[in-house]
Amino acid sequence: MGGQLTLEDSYRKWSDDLSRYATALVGPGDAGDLVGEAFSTLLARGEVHWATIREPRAYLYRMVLNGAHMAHRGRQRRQRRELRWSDGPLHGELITQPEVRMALTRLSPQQRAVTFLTYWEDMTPAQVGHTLHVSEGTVKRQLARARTTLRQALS
Amino acid sequence: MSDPTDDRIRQVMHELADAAPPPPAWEHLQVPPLRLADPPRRGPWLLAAAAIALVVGIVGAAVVLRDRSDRVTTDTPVISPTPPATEIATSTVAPTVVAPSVPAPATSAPSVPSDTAEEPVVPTTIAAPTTPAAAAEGGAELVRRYLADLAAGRFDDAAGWLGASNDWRSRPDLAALTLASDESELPAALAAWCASGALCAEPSSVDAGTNLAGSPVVSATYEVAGTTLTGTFATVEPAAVRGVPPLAGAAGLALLASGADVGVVVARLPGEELVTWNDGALAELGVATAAWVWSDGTFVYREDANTDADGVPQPSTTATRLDGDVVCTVEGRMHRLREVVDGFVASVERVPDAAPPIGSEQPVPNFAVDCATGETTAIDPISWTREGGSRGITRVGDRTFTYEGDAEGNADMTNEQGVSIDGDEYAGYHTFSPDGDRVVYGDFTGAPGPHATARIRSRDTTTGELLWTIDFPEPFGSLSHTGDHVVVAHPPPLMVDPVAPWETTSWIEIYDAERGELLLTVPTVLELIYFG
Repeated sequence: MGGQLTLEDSYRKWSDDLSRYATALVGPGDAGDLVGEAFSTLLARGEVHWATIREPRAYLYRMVLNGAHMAHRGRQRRQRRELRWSDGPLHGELITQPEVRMALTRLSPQQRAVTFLTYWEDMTPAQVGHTLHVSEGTVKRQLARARTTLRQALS
Repeated sequence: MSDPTDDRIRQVMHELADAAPPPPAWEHLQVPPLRLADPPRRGPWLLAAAAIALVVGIVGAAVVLRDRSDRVTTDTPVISPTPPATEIATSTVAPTVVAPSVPAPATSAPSVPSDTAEEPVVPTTIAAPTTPAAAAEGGAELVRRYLADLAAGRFDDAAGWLGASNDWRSRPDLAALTLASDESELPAALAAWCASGALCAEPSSVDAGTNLAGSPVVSATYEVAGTTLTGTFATVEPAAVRGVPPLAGAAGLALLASGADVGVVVARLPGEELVTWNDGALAELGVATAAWVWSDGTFVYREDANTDADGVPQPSTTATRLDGDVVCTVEGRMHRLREVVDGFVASVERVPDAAPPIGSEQPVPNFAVDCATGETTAIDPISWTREGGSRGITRVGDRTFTYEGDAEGNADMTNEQGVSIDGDEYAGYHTFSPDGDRVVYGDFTGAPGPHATARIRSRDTTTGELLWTIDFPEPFGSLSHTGDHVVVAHPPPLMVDPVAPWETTSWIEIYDAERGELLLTVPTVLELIYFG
């Protein structure tokens, strides 16, 4: 249960991971907002609500992904973000493979999430599905689509 | 052997992770952070706003069961974006505040028989909420009880929660029931609906939330065959439910075909099973996990992503008849299959051996493959790739269109005379009438680009004339032009709480293709692949 860790403790434990995850979803420019928004939402709901969450880490990953999906549909911000994704340098370092970065902009947030959890977190499809609350088959399908898109970009 | 593409993807993911900024300081989270977009409709305030709006009523029908009349622009070319009228409508109704009411946890069902109730039924015990959250939970509780009655087969009680009058058939959220039966009584119609592939089992959870337009909705979550599915409902004052459970079983294909007035439907069931409905014949085509599936109404194509020994991606495609009979398997992407006197010939594209040089383009090799012998003959290409884009040819009926695609997913299409068939608008996906004389285009939820919209348009492909425009309050999921109708599949509304399966369908809308008028709304969680 989430009650095993307070919100603040949860934040200190997982915020770095979530920031990396959010960066994969929306880019580094919005990653901090995304993580901050998730926790602000939880703060507004309070510790009592947090204590009822059974799998807090997976819950946080879904919240961040959900936020990314909502942000993805914000037109003006999306345009700015995608321009940054496709043209501008990322926070800190420049992605060395622009064709891959361009291809990433073609993935849906959920496809990016599946790709990140698979290739960065080294999760199995079953683990990704458990984290995102989708079936293993959905994960495999999402991953296949993402890889197809990325492969075409790399071919 | 290790796939070099995988290695590169992994490398990029690691670079991305390294580029992550440090998270904001915990102390800074006590105040709302910078909103990601569209402040009035986002973030933690949504739940409270949703709850308030849910309590004040005038909520629900606008969500799933919207009146299309204010959304379509018929025969009026719209070059510049038009305001999303439905969003305005749904947001302006919220200030109509009336005294909040919410059902107390009474166990009794509504006492007013549905067939005599002219007004929405009020549960026997009403308690005023003390908080907006409690009010929102009240809306969810209504839906919870309604679905519990349906699951238990208490159709009279379930009908009571709907607060319908004798002319329930004219209510948009209940009109789909007429596909399942000719019953005049609502309880009997609900029973027939549940017997026809609707998901009438009790959901694992029922939650209140909001869609992207800021309108409150109630989401029912079901676990079926290892898949999480979502049914979408709403509530209105004083205490009535809007909506029926979604179609989920194979039997539902017949209802969808009837609603869209088509002979063929191809869909993927929860659990990945492919099914086809062909003029009354239902066939199961096996599980299709991790595969692209599409259909032209005659064959079902399944593309599996493979990698050859050198690590080069080389998909294979299998084509079956609608009854599941496998007729052709080839290496590459099959884009057309023709039946000839002594077998089948597939037109197949294969991945080029090398990427095009920067600044130039190269054709994607195209072949005619004899499905029986594998004999392969090079034929004229139909698509070309270049850095950051592509172009190609699309054939529909006797018509031929050409497209120029950019890296963002936008494809500008022209007809045989070079007339644009999608104007100046962003168009990520085109679907044609079977004769190719009409096109509907828009963007997809599944692959949003930087200019993704929640708008679809229809044009005459000979003159390029704009026929109609429809704005949705949120991005749609898929789009099919059947000739007489346009079928639009919608994903579940995005909720404030984490619910994941937005790439599944929650309901479809069936439009008159000529006028763009909404004819019918049908809740379904089937992943729809083809209507025609």
